[in-house]
Amino acid sequence: MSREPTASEQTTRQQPRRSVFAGLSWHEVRALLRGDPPTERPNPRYRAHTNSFFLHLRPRTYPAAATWITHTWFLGLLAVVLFVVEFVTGILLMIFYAPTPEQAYASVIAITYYVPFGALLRDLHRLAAEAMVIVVVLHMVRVFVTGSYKGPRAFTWLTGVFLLGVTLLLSFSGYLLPWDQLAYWAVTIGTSMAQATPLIGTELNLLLRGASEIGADGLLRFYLLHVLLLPLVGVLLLAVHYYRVARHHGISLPASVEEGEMPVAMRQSATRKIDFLPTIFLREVLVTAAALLALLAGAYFWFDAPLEQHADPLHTPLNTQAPWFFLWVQGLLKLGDKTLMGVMIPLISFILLAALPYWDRNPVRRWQRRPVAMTLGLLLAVSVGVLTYMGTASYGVVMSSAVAIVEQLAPEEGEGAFRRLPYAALTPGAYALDQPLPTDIAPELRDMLTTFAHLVEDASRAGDLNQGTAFVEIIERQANLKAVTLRIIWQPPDVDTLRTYTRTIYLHRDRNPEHAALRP
Amino acid sequence: MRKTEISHPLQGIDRREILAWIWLLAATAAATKATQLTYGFVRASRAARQPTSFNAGTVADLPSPGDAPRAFPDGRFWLTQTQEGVAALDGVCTHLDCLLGWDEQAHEFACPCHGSRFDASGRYLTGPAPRSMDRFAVKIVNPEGAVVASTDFAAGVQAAPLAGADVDSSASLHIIVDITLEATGAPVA
Repeated sequence: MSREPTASEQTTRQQPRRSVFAGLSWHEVRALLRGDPPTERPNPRYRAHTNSFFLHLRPRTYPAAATWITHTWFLGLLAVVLFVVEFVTGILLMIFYAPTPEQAYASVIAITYYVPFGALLRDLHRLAAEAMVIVVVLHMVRVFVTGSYKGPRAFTWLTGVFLLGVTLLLSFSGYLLPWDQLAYWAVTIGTSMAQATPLIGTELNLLLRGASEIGADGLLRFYLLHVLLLPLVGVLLLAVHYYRVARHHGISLPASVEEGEMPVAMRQSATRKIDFLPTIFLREVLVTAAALLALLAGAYFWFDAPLEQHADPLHTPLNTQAPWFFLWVQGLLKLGDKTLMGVMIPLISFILLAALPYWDRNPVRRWQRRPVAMTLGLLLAVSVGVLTYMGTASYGVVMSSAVAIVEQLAPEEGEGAFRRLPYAALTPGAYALDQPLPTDIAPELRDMLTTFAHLVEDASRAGDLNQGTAFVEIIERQANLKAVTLRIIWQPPDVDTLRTYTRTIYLHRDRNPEHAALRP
Repeated sequence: MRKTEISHPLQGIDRREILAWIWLLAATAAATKATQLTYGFVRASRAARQPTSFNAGTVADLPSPGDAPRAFPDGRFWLTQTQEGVAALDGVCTHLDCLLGWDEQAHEFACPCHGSRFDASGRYLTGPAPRSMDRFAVKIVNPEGAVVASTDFAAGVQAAPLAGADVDSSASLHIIVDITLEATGAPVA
């Protein structure tokens, strides 16, 4: 004859399962997922927060208004999700990446074209890194606008600004690792700026580069910074940052709830407690899944992590440009003294930003009542925007017309019109573009040569390239490899001799990687 | 107003406290020394670039005054001839270490990174660079190895003068550039 087991017998029988689910019974886990009320008294879900390491990191309850999406936009959560994505993809990439000048570029090529899912992983790593910079900055803007850095949250803001610094440094240190041209020169500029730091500059530069110029030592140092030191500092800072949010002061209430006058019922509803389990937890799972899906779709369909030509310490390419999140520094650098513009102003801005809650003593949180703070914030945003534009290669770096014309058609880095021509259309031959073109060449090549001739003619007419003439030579150097030479010859009015500007680019039949991957 | 009461006012300093402070001090000293040692370990102690001196051809190969300087990418310098003589211009921009390119059209050096420009003799023209191009030491030696002309940075001679050199034997006069000896360019006024 059977009977219903007593409650204590049930507990004993479920002990092994309970130890897996942080003290929750299987019934309780199911009830939790269904959104049902707790199955036992006292609420076992609260006990789980004590039993489980991961749950103990999270508060048991949140005031409803603190979790409004229009208040937090999930930006802190998203930053953590992206950090974890960086961790996971980064560790996987480390399996195939080799941090030496001889092997780095080849290993990145191998990851991109030969390792299964390698291209996707690299795209994800790069995309998530750039998304992380955006999300962290937006998180900061949100906290600034909602006035949440004030009062007990001052130190949390300070750690947050340092986390922004770590995010930027992580992105920048990762920038060198593919060992391509833009990376090499962007980091040369970056470390040269470090040299401009008063007193410790020379030592700091030597410490980062490992030698007078970036080479094997520098690459290894940036690699170690990128995979060890900075992530470690990031995790520690994140721990301090989150501990304060979770245990010290919680997520701020919206200023309208905290400061505004509202009916009692409405305030009660805004400040009522919402349990982490299951409401907030499931919401976070949903947001995380959506973010991962968006990231995957972005990396798969649209985003290709860039890779320029192999680093050449003996040649700085035209249009050398900092990564987009540091263009504002490059803009500053074009304005003058590198110690002042490259080190002092960014450093002072950083200190002012980190110390914001300590000098902004206005206790009011609502943005409508903080005209000075809002104006300053807007001013900062606008200056960063303008400086970013000034940092692009199109500002302040003058190219003479011969270089500009060739750069437009066959740039040193990147694709350009000539490289987009089908390989078969590149009929070998020497073409003087002031003469009628042969009739038997492909229409794509004809169009390209006509464009080139027109550009030089226009410059010649404008007086830039006196009697300028364009020439193109296409030579089949070896099987499946053609050399295309663009040449502009002109006669400067004040000199006897002719002047020449020449650039040769090499095009392989398999240059288009999608085709290359298909070949056996 | 009520004052916070201190239940155990500290009076003087006792043996335990002194010892504790000594321990803390010793730990701080040890940590400082450890930091210093770590720094010494991590800091690069590499010598300058190798090789340190370049044979940059003969006087006969020199660009004529007013012509485009000749590039020596391996040594990261440009050889130019001015009225004063032969000069080896450091190809590294004085702003932020990018390598300068030669703009044939404007007949100037141009920095691809932040747009600084210098004339054919390395003099600053425009842009954020703080000074004119730096110069490496140059000496001109005859086939016997004797130095017939050289720069002397201490005396302000920044180009190896060719005035005294025998023009007929210029094809046998070699130009040696020493990249360990460098004179910084004139600061922008």
